[in-house]
Amino acid sequence: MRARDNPFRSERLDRLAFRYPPGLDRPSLLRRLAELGHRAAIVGPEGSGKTTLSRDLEQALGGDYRIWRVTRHRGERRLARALPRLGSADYVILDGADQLGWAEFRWLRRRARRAGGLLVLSHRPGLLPTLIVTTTSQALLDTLAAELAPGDIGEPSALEQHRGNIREALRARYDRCAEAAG
Amino acid sequence: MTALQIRLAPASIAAGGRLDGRILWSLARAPEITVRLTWQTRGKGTTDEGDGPSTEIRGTAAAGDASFALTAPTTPPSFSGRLISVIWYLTATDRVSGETAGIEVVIGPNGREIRLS
Repeated sequence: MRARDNPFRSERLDRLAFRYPPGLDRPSLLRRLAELGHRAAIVGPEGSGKTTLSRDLEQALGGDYRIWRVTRHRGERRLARALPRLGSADYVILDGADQLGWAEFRWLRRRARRAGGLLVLSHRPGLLPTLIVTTTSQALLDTLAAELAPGDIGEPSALEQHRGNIREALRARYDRCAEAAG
Repeated sequence: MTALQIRLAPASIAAGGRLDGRILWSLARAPEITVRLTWQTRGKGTTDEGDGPSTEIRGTAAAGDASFALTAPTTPPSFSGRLISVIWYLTATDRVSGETAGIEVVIGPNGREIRLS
């Protein structure tokens, strides 16, 4: 199978919508975010949908604010001092907050003091009040896989094999799909 | 006819070869069109993209057509393996109306996609 035809190719994974847990939806989460003064954290393990959820919220927030998305990758400790002086019309979304050192995070908080909001994505709670804890399940993995490839080719990969990381589990299905198709 | 159309004959060419085509338009105002070759990756990893050569077409009327020619780049070739595909597109974008059109183009040895199984 050509990579371009693989139903689990990365750009299709990127387009998957965040699945809100029962009893929660975008409006209710935005209300909670407002109650927290727009200083909050999305907390959850790797591959649990933090980035996907933040992009969903960004769509809604983008109508009222200028969004500054900062992404920190593993091993990147220093925050690029590229953020301008922020005002109430600005909203900072920091993906990978765990990668920042303590001093860098303090710098960011100070920098965003006058911003309309600061939303951070983190594996662990404690940086800011928790807005939501993202979780995964085998049922969620199966739902997403079925959306990407109805009648999925090959054996389903168990989520626990990938330490609960949905993205990794879907990438494993990419491999299985490629091998099965020859 | 849709607002902007690309016609190519053929849509497969050898790397370094000449790509001839025609743009047809029917818009509210005379267009300013950029015709550009771009490539994108598809597959398991993070997607990547890049631009190839481009040319400009300045229309003199709201409806019309114009021919163009571009020299196909030699790299990267249209390619598909299990992990990654490289796909070339020809796009036409009118800066006046914002209309766009796109079509896939194969650029490779003898006008064929390189396939790795």
